[in-house]
Amino acid sequence: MTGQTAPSPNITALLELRGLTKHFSIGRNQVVHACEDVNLILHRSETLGLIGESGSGKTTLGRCILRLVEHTAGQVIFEGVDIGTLSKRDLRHLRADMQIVFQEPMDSFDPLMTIGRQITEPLRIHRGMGARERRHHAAELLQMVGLPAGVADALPATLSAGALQRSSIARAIATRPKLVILDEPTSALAPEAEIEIIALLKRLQAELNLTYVFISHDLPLIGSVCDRVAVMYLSQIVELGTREAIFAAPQHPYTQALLAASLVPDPRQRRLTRSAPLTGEIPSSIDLPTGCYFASRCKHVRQRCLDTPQRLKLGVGGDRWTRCWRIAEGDLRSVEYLDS
Amino acid sequence: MAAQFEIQQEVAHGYLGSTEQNPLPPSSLFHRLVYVLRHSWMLRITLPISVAALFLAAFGPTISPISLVSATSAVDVPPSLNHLFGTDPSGLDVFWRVLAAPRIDVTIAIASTLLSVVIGSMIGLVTSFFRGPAAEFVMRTSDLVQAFPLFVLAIIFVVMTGRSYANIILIISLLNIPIYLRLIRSEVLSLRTRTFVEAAYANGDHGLSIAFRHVLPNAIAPALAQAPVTLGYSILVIAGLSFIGAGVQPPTPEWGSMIATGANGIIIGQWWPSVFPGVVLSITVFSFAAMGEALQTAVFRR
Amino acid sequence: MIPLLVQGLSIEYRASQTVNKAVNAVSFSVDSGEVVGLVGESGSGKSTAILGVLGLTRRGGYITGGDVLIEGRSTTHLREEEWRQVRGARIGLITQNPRASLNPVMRVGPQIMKVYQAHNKADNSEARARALSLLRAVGINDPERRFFAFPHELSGGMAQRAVIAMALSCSPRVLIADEPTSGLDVTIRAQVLDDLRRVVSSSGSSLLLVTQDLGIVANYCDRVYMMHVGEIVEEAGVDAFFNTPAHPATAALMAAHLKELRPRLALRGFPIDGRRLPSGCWLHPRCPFAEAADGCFERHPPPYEVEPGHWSRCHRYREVIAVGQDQLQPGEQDRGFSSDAPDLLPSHHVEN
Repeated sequence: MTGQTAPSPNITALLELRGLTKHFSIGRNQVVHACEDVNLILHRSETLGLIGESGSGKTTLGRCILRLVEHTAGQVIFEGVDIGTLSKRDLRHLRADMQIVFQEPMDSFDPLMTIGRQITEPLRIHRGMGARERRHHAAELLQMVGLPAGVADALPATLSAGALQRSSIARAIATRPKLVILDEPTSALAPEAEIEIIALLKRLQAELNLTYVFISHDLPLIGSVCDRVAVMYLSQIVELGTREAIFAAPQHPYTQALLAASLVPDPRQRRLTRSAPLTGEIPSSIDLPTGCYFASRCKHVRQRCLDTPQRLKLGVGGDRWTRCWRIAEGDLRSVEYLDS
Repeated sequence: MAAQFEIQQEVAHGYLGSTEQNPLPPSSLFHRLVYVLRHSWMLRITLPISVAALFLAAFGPTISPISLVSATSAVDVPPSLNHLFGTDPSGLDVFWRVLAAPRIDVTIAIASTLLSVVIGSMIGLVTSFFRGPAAEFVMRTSDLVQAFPLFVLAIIFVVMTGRSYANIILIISLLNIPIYLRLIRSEVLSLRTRTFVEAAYANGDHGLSIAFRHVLPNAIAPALAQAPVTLGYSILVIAGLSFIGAGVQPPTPEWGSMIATGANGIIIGQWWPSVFPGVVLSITVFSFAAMGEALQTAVFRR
Repeated sequence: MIPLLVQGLSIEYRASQTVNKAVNAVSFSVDSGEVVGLVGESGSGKSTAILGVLGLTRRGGYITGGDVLIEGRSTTHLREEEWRQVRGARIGLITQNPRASLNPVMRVGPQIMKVYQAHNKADNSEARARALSLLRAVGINDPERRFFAFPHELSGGMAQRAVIAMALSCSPRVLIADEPTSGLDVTIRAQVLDDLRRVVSSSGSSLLLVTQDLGIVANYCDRVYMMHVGEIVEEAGVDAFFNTPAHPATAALMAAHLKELRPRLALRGFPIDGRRLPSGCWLHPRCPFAEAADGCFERHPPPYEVEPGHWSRCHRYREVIAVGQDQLQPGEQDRGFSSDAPDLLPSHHVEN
């Protein structure tokens, strides 16, 4: 995946990220490494999960994909077009095809405008729709997301978080986009609202043939929603694979720690989830070490881990990528974990 | 992922939001205004006065039964039934002139306040939303303007460019722009990082449209609450300019010039040509300022 | 002698025209060495009840009934000065947001010292030693350096550990933790909870864990109370709680944690308002199980015993158990990870 030069047109690929890097400079020659050399292919109609904790860069990655934030290096190729080369105007036109649902439903809306007007804003912008047509479409969109038509005349402050998030989804699908970035869409919701939103998202994906990038820190949630999963740690993807593979046999030590720390609401699985706690804190993204970023917390660290930068390598078993030389070279096999 | 179930409309429930600790819906600006109106006795006094001033600005001169500018022989008459506020050294009735003065004072003040608010908001909006070297330049200029005493600058400007109404309106509005620039700027700076602004960009909207469609309406409230205060202050400036002869000339009815005309007479006991305009001026300015105060409490109770 | 015994506690909020019954005749207990979970959706009165246990209520709140016995001693008639001797010394509180509990302009070490010295006659060197040992005990490595840190210099997990250290400083018999890990990263959360549990079991004190997260409950609690609209609607040991949930509110929360719709268990409508309680069972407007024939609309349910040690405030608890058994099996996609996978993690780290 890394180091390939010829851009081969991939028919099923909706989105391709090559060496995507994003740095934020914060004065005094200090740089926050938000995303480092991210390589990824997103297939049509799939749901890719992006999981990580704070500082992992998952949120920034979502913004870079849409070019809401300018990336520092690398390419974002959407349907064969490098969107980094587009003019501002062409980029704006492209936004009809790629949309986003934000984490905070309360803050996603202009407090002074009715919901109906806001969810049809994309239609005004991209199709020049007039007021009457927009009212009609607003009713239709609300129905698609399971809200009563009266919501169109409501102001955001009168709606609950779940209803606002549905409205946010309505706005995102207004122009029938191809790609929707879901940035922790349920983190701010109560569990009951969360499952409804998830069900809604699944239904809409089938109806409208959407492709999702689902960003979250909640591993069980990712497991119930996504086809493939990318695990991010401190600006890098440390593991990438199908959901089944990642959950059944996580390879990278960080993925394992994440799984171990995800508390499953079932006392019978207690033993598994409380094994091998991770030690140490998450390091800062300003002063990153030379070698493996995870070395400071890893139980299986060797000298080579500290010296050489780790690349995402094809791991054991086909479409699995792991940023750990010990896994890739078979130096560390699953069985070995028993003895550490 | 194939859909495996339907979503029943009933499940999409409860769109009437409420938080658990405080089940009341958040109060809108309108509700807060009504609340302030009901609970502030100050507002209940000053609001009618302000409204009266506006009414007089519109209709003052027309309701006067007598001439406001032709001199009569009834010179220096003390307050009496015929002349409620007495007459001034030119024989002009003070009462009706006091009531007619808002046509000048208040109208000019409204014009210049309007200009300040509009121009100040526009500049503030654009420079704060779109950051950059131009913004810095504008802010420093604005600081410079604010550093000077408004009244002194006004005098200099009017003396240099002539005593026309346009000039007076212009200079007063110019000198008040920095206030509105600052008010809008502080709102815009915090609004531009809000999610709904990012969402507007994600929708494909462009900067200027977002600024005017989404940011401005959310940023304007403090500026609108400040406007009555500026109004009051502008009246004072106009009166002051006219008082020293740099503004409106007699015999046009205007509080400042009326005070000046009657100033000489105070020593010899003819207090009414100066005092009545002065008192009414003070009450009017204060009313507008107090109204602005009350509006500000309504606006800033976030 | 039970370290914490709450009997029939009731708390009301009185506003100008309304009375909000936030907590209604709530009774629970925590035994020595036990970790007890208090679960409920937001608005169910958990935090209010906790504050009530400490003799604190928010503005407009009044304790209208019941008793709280801390180490066997009643606290109903304590005056404020007497309460101050109880809080911190006999019962400690760990709140949700560590930044809110720590003084931002004071270094962390001295803050712990201050709490310790408030309740014990100790000079500075003794207090300092105690603070350092506490920091070490809660899992902060390099405590000498962290001692002098300001709260904003600590990460979220560290700050919360400092708060735990503060709560433990006077060795209270009872600890109350109100959502202690919300807002923390997943891996940090597990570490903090492990440290908390370890410290509690080694000192033999009791822990009341207030949370909405059933994952935390399943992994750290011995017994569980479920709250809804200010009353306790179910009590059970943790295994019984998860295997046979006997109240619709419990079942709904479990269904919500499955990340998939279970319409037969989901609650309709929106949260019940404590100022306008319905007749009969307070859940009935939302309850998928409500039936007139069983009195759901008229009779307020008494606690029904499901099994020894497990009771539920629901007329139809048998149906709830039955439907729960059927509906609450994880679906194909719901497994956090396959429990058939080989034990991937070093076995000697397993704690019991």
